[in-house]
Amino acid sequence: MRDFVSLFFLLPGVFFMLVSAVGVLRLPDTYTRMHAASKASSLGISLILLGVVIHLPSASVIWKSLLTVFFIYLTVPIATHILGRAAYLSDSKPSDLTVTDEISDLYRPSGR
Amino acid sequence: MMETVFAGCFAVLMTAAFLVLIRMIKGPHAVDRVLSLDLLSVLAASLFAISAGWVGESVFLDATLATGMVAFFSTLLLARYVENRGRA
Repeated sequence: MRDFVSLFFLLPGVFFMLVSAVGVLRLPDTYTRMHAASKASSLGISLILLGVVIHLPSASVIWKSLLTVFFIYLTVPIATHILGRAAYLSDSKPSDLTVTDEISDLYRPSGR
Repeated sequence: MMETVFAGCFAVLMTAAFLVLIRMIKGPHAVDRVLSLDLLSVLAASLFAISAGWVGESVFLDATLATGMVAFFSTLLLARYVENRGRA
């Protein structure tokens, strides 16, 4: 029974990691790829850790997994924000499907 | 039964890492490469978590935590580098 509960969390976690990788490979520009890489992967790794905790319920496993999930949720948004800023300031081209760029007046007054 | 499941999860995550590696080689912009490095590190962290469940050792979870930290700091430094490149 406990194996099935563990499986119930492990398989969606692996699925979300795969979706994140496919998104990074297939999406059209840097900004959309960043969207795929940050959100799906943090959800995926938390589900995988939850599945491992249910498979091996001991105090050290629970504490290490909690610490890891806390750290991942703390750092992934910061890293993605810094990456998005780097992409915009170093002129990564948005895809042709992009509708608007609201901060172009603030960061690119010369309109380059 | 759980050994088979963990082996399957390991294989699927390795496939995902291969797809991200293709993006890292193609990546038209430097930020794409930094982004794929970040996702590869998170994939390595989840591979360590899967190994912990597979082998039944909690030691691998230390590697998960350390890999997550290295991913964060390397992404931070590489992004700052890409941002300031060519501006002295």
